[in-house]
Amino acid sequence: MPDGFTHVLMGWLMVELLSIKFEWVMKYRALVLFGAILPDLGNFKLIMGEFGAHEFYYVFLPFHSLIGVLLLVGIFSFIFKQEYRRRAFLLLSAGAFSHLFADYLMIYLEGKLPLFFPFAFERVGYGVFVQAGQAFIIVLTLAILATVLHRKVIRDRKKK
Amino acid sequence: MDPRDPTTLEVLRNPEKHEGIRTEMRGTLVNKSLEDGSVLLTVEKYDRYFDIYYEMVEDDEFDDFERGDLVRVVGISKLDSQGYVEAEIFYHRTMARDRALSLLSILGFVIVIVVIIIDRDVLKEMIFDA
Repeated sequence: MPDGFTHVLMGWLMVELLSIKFEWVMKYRALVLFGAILPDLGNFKLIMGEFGAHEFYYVFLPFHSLIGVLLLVGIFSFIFKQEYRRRAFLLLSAGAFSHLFADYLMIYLEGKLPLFFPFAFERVGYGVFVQAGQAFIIVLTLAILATVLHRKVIRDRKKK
Repeated sequence: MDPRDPTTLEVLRNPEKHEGIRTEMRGTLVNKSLEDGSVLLTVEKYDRYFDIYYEMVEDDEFDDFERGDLVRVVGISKLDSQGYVEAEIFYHRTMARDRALSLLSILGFVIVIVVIIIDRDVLKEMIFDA
């Protein structure tokens, strides 16, 4: 899995991309960013090293599947008021799916993603970027800058 | 023992049954040396030691390996009764990279907390008031 910073960048890119079509997304960016790190909240290894990493590995592994992410986001969306729940669910999902997409692109030491759990136990991954490598961070940063620039150009055109 | 590697565990318990099997294992690098232009890496897993010959692509690759690095062996071509492994391909992660991973993760979490604090008014309005 990539590091938290890469996931936040991926979430930010998602915010920027969605803002092109839906400007209100920027107001709720915190939800997309939180969604982007949500599947890793149980990943003790990233935060606490080896402590608890093996014991809880299989407990939290399903949160890196499509169904697991939807369930997790569904649970979290219940902390929001009825009128905002649908919006919160969609924004958290956008962030969480960006997380899965980033994970899908990683070269793994620990094993790939159980994306289709519980329907299939096969682990999948495309293996493009190395963990904690600079390449993915650079690509994401450039993509964010390009999207910000694109939004600015659109905004300027509208003003004219 | 690592519960994530049942295949490797089975191979290590009964190496004679599984000679030639292709599997994956993760271990810790305990030693490195140069032999006939290849790097000989000794990897520890479940208190057993495996010698892995790796042909360098670049001359300075030898320096990249550090004791304590995690090594993933993919594609075991030979496993004899003493448990020696010859690997064709492998990928390794350095301790420095592990440390970078942890630091970047903490940084990611900090950024999210900061954004939540900045946007707290919007979130307060949305969150269910118990």
